[in-house]
Amino acid sequence: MKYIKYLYLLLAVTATGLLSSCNSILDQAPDGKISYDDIFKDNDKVAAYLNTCYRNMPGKGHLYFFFERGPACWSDEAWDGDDNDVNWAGSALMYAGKASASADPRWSVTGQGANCENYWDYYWQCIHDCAYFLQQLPTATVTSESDRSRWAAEAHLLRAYYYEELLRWFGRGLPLVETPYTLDQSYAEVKCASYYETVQFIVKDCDAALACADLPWRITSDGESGRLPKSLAWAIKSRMLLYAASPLYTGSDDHWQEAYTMTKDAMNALSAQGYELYTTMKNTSMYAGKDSHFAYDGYDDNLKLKAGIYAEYFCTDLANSATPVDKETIFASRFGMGNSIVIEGVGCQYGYKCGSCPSQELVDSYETIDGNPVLNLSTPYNDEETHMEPNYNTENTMYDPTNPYKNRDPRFYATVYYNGSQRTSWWSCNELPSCYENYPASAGWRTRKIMTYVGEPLSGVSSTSRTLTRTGYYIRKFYDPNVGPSNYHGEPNFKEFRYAEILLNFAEAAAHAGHADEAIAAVNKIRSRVGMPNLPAGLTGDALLQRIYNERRVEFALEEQRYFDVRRWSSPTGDLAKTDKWVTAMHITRNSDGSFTYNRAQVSGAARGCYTNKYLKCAIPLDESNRILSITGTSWQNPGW
Amino acid sequence: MKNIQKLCAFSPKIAIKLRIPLSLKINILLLFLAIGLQVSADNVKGQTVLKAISMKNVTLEQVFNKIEDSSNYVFMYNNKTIQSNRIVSVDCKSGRINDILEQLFQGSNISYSINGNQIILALRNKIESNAVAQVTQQRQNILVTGKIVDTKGDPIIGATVAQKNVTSNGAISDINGNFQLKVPRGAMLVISYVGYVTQTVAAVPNKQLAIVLVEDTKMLEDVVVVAYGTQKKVSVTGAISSVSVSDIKKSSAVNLSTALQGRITGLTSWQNGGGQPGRDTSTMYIRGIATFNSGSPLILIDGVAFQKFDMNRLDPNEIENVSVLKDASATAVFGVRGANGVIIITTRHGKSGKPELSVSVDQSFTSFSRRDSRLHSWDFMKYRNEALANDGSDPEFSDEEIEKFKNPLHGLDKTDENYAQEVAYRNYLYCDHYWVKEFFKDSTPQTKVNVNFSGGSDRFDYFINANYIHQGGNLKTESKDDLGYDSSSWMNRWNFRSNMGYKVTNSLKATLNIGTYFQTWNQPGATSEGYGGDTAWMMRDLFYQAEIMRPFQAGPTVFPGMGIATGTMVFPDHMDRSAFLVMNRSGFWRSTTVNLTAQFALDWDLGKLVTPGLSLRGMVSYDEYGTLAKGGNKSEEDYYFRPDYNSDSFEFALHTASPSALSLWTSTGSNYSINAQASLNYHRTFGKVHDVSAMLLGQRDFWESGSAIPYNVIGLSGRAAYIYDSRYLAEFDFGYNGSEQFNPDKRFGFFPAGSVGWIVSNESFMKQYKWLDNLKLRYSWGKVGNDKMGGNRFIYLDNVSVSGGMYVSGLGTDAYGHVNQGLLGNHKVTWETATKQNYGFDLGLFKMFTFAFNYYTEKRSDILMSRSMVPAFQGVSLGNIPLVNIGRMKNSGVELELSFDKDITKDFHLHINGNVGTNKNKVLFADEPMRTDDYVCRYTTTGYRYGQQFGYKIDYASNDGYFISQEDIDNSPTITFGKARVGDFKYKDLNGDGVIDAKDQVPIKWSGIPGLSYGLNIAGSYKGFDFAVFFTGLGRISSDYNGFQNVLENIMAGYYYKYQRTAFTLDRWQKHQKITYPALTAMGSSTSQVSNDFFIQNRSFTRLKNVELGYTLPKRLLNFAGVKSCRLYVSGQNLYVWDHLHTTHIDPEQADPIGYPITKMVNFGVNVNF
Repeated sequence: MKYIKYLYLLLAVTATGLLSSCNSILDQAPDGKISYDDIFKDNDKVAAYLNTCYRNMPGKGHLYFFFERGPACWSDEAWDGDDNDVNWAGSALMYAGKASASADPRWSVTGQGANCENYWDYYWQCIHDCAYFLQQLPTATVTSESDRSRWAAEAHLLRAYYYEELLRWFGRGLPLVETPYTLDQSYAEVKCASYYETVQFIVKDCDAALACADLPWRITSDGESGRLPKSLAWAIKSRMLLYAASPLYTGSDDHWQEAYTMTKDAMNALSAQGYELYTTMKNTSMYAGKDSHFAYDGYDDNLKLKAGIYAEYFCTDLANSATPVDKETIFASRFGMGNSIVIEGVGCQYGYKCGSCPSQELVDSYETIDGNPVLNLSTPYNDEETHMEPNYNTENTMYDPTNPYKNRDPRFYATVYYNGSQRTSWWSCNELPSCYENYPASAGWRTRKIMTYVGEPLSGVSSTSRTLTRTGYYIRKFYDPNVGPSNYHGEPNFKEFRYAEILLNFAEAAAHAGHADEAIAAVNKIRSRVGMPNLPAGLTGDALLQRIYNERRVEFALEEQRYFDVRRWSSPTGDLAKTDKWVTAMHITRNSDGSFTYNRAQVSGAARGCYTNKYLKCAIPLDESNRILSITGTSWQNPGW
Repeated sequence: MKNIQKLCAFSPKIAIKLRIPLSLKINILLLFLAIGLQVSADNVKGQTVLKAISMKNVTLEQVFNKIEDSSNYVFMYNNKTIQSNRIVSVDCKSGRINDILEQLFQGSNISYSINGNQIILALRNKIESNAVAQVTQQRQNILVTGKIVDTKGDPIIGATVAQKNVTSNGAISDINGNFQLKVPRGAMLVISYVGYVTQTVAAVPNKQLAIVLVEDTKMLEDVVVVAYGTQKKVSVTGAISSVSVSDIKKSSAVNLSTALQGRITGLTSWQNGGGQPGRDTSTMYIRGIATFNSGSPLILIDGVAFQKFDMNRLDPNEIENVSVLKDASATAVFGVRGANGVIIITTRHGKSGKPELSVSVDQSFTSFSRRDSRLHSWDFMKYRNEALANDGSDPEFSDEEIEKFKNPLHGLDKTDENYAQEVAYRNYLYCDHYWVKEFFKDSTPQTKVNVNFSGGSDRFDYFINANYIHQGGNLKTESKDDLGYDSSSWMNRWNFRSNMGYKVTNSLKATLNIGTYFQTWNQPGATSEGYGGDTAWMMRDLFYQAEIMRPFQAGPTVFPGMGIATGTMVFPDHMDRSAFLVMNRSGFWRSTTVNLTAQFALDWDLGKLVTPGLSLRGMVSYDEYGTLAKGGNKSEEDYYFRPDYNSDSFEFALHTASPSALSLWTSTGSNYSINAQASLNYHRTFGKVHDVSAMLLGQRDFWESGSAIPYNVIGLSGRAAYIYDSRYLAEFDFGYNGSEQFNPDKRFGFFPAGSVGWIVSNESFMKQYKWLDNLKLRYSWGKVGNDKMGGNRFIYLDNVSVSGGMYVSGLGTDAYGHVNQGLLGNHKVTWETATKQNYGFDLGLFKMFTFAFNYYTEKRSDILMSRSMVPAFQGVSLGNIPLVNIGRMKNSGVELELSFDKDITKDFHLHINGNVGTNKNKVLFADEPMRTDDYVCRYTTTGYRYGQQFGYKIDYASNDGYFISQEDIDNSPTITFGKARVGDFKYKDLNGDGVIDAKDQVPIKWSGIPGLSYGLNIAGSYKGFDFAVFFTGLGRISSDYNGFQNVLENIMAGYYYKYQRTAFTLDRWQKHQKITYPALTAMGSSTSQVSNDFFIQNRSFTRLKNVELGYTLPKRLLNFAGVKSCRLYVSGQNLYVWDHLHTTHIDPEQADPIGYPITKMVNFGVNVNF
């Protein structure tokens, strides 16, 4: 009978172990998870929440998938040399016209060190977070009232920033998230505001930021690096009003007067805070030294200096200081670009790839130093779409098609490497016998002539190789004159908003609103910084606008403006056939005597697919547009998708 | 015999004509022979009884018994007249019954006649008109008593004792194993019990017969492993399939899930992950997938769901049985974890008897199952130019350059003193590499050694196993001597197991199972060049480099006399990195895993203490798993190769200027899990016909893994079964258990299931059909749950935390830098419910055929999923919105198992078994937004099979689906996703809007989840020889290969697979040549390279999975060193595959065509038993 005892004991143990407190066994062990209520009861966590609102700011520059300088390569500014080898990434798909509502390569980007993978989803998430933060902040535990005030202003400005990005890419009015949506609500009644109403919503957020005395005009210490300054509010307002007045978005309304006022206010307010163009060179030994190679022997020395200043601006990071050297940059992306000479520039320098190759069209847009455009700006090409027959500006006597890179705007030399330009840095290639201009030389620190003629084995134009240019040009902007494999350093952070844009935004709005003189004065500020002559006085109407458009194109070359500009200048029913359908290259033949013959050629035998009407705006992701249609009964989808 | 000769004469001809592989030919031959032999055996049936008979001075009855014992014949006679105790002698060499009888009765007064299997004896010249009726009556009845025990001495309850050939006269052993039966004097008794070898003994009166039944390993299938126990197969009413270890051991795969392929009906297993050593995992589903969440089955080893003891690391030698539980009746006891089916693995235990020692050694050679045919550099250049021409571009290579690659030495002067150097230079510059051969070995050895030892006494049993396996990789790495470290790919594993049972008292048994493995694998460092230590990426790069790196790329290392150091790496042009460099020069990585699993169980028979048939079982087990990884990283200088074909020269340009020296690193990880369970079991038969059994089990699991929150599982399970008279079966099962996923008030769920069965063949009215061995009808219904939602845990709680790391400075602190929003909780969430039904029958015929049929349906409702109708603009990431129980899916299918088992002749045994399972799946509800009405398909999930592939329909009716002219393109609907070229696919405008766009996409083929799986095994033995051929395959499976780098032609400047070498060109078209691919392109992509009929390929395949030929040495050769048996065998694995892919270089079984390919294997082995 002693077994019975054991039996009872065993049963008791089993029962205790298994059945008692069954429920609590399955409770979650402590792991630091908290509720949103907890977050807003602690000052540091409230700050952390605002930090989280910054998370989906986009990577710019060449941080588009797959390390591409997206919008520059998708417009007529450049051609992506990865079109063959990375045919699953943005540029190749755009060129093939393979965007669809379910996969638009413009927003279905994988962040390359940046955090943004899907603009539509990611920007809405941060907009929600900003709205939730603003809703909770008044009752949240914040130890300093000035912090509370500044954080609110930052959240407003962040929301404005994300809306601005959405408007740029998707180009349509959006629902206005004043207070956050909740998950259990019905979305059936959600309405889209018009484009103009959305801009007004952005302006309202910007004004909230501007009204905050605790939000600083600029970030003055590294301890606040990356945070939004008050000046950005004016910059966003300036850009958004210009957009709202532009043909693609304006509809039947005329907002130019309002745009004129707003862009002028922005210009004046920022100017009053010390914002101005970058005009003084800091590192003269690099940007004005013998190894800087801006332009060629015999080019005007003053203009070489101006080119150096312009170049230095893009190659230098904005310091967080109350008295910065760079007073032009209003806001720069927080994402470092890394050792990007590896993936852009003259491919044979490092040997991997050349990335964005500036187009012949971009090169054509640089005036000669007498201030005359090279092409007739109203009809730049006689064959308007294919760009093989340039329609030269008859007033320009300086331009020589047989020596095309002479006497050009200093910004040309700071932006583009062309046939015969030079670069001093570490070259990892040994010269081959058919590198006539450079042979013999081996890998190492030296000055190399960048020859892009057909057949030059290390830097000549090619339709297939990854290291060789597609267009006859290599990118130079953003890279200091000597950076290379032996002295890698990160390309500076991308300057998203700079004072030059404020000036040109104003110029465009003023020209439309009938203030030609003010417009010309603003453009001239831009031109005089690089030593270009003033625009002719008395220009008005289309002639003035064309000069302003061209100035934007040149000044902001490869800076993600052109892609959006050609779109907003289009009518809603138009397309980009004249600019983006065909992009051309310069095929240079080296003659036996060492001279060169210049022939224009199309980069690809096929037209690009990304010029049609539907490419004016990004597709709203298919699933989302289907959901919206199902829920609200109305389609928000952009035309053509 | 005439027929046989004819067949034999013809078969070689057939073989040649059909190109049947040699192994198959042999089998066909054997099959023909078998049929022939069977025919001849029938012809002589009734002739031969014994090889020879020689008996002297015995009673006539003894002779009768001898003959009855060894044949089907029964003697019938009247004992009064025949006097069977008379003394006779017989000596007959022929063994023919007629000869024997002739000798026996020669000169006696007895005549005989043979009527079927009855031999009727009578007095000569005296007609016994009613002989048959009288003989049985007049043969004297005796009472036989006895006791039936198993080899351990335990009584066997319910064993059947029957008079031989008179099945109506029988008895069943009682609870003590005792029986009694009246039979005629001299009758034979047949004692049988499921799972034991049937015995025949002579009926002896006045003596207690002691019968020891020996377990029949061949009959293992007759006992089925069920949840937390075993059941007689005859009493099973659920849907359970199993495979015995002898079949698993036929596979030379190191991976158990691969070895299970095609062996178990309803278990779909395929080597989705390719063939890399240590990573050659399979994907397993039971009866398809019925959820958007994890469809993985629950896997139990000896009753415990170990968290880290990977079933793939088990050695097949330590396994007794693998069972798959499929329907709700079989899995209900697993409650919230049972919805996806359960795989139960039972390890081996010793049996009482003499110790047995088994040693086997296997040596295999592995190589890739598929490989593209070679492309020479000059051919590559030709295709490259063809592709460029299709795009309207200029050729990349001039005719002169191509010519130089064909004749690299052209123009060299042999008398030149530098000739040798020039030749080396030219061959280096104008190269013609065969990269696959240069990067990978043709074959790699794999070695397995196993020793196991088992035995036992009536108190103690043991099974001890040791296994060693070495798996070599196919990487052709540089030698350790040159590198200073070993970067090759290999895996070594030691498995040890000791399973012991000890009977402490007659009613208490203790069991201790200890299993462990020690595994080390080595691989290249792979941490530089952006791989981050991911060798999968390295393999991927290496393999597709090997396949597609331009054939004229130099390298991979520099030769002597090239101007830079010999052996320096050459960086491949058009590539992001050199995988060959990563493989060799980036260091090494070695990882060791140690696993220990221990299980202690007590079985306490409470039969005497409480009530007969009751027993209690308690078990505690734990599992410990630790890894230690060590590696060294380095990087090395490498150079670009720059050819200049104009001047026949080349140079090198520095790529990586700053190499780093080898630096060591180490990392560790550890995990453990604990399981405790206790169960009460009851089994008793009342009044001979009422068989009652019940089980109640409670258990708790606890485990910790890395930094994850500890895991807990708790549950109660039960089963009650009743069988009436071995005819009517009923069973009820339940699981009551909780899941950490749900709110306390929703946490526990009750999952019931019931099943019924009817063994028709045991009905008395069916007894007359002798050919019917077994007929059972089954039905089950029940509910099971699933609480898995990817890796998400505690899904009822908000997963929100604050952690360090700031996006911008000055907001938050080091500790609170940002807020992480994970999945938000839903308090109402609960498990998804599977309602399963199974209809089935089992059939046995002619003692050689068995069939099992199942039809099943499953409705999965309340599937946990994210709402798809919440718009993204509301701002919570769609991945974080709370889960709801909203999805619904339906599954149904048919399963069929067939087997044939027969001793065709005394020496020739043939066994054929096959299985086929289908699965039909449909998503009923997926909360999917409807598309606008201009889409041909307004849903892409709802109403289709899960994972259905969509794409464009090619208009094959028009010029075989190709555009053949620009005019053709202009007159066809406009393609919106690129610019069509001549030779691109022409698509159907299904919505008729004049353009081809996403709206025209329709379902094409199936999905990545197979809808059909099958296996066919043909095995046999002839004297010492044995053979087995095993085919398995999948059907109704497809993959969208569009976009895969190893399928398209244009990535990284091009490579052209076999099927692209006859791509569309106008020239080939006009010449009516076979076209196997759309026009090649050198551009980023073409309009042909989208999801369409062509790139969504049918992955169905049939594979010759195993072939084995063995020879067991004759006993007479083994009279030394106590060798009991010795078998030599040779086998092949994955030797051939029949498929439907357009490509010939991809194995249809693997999902990722650029992963490590599936391997095939040839194996030589020997097994010795002592």
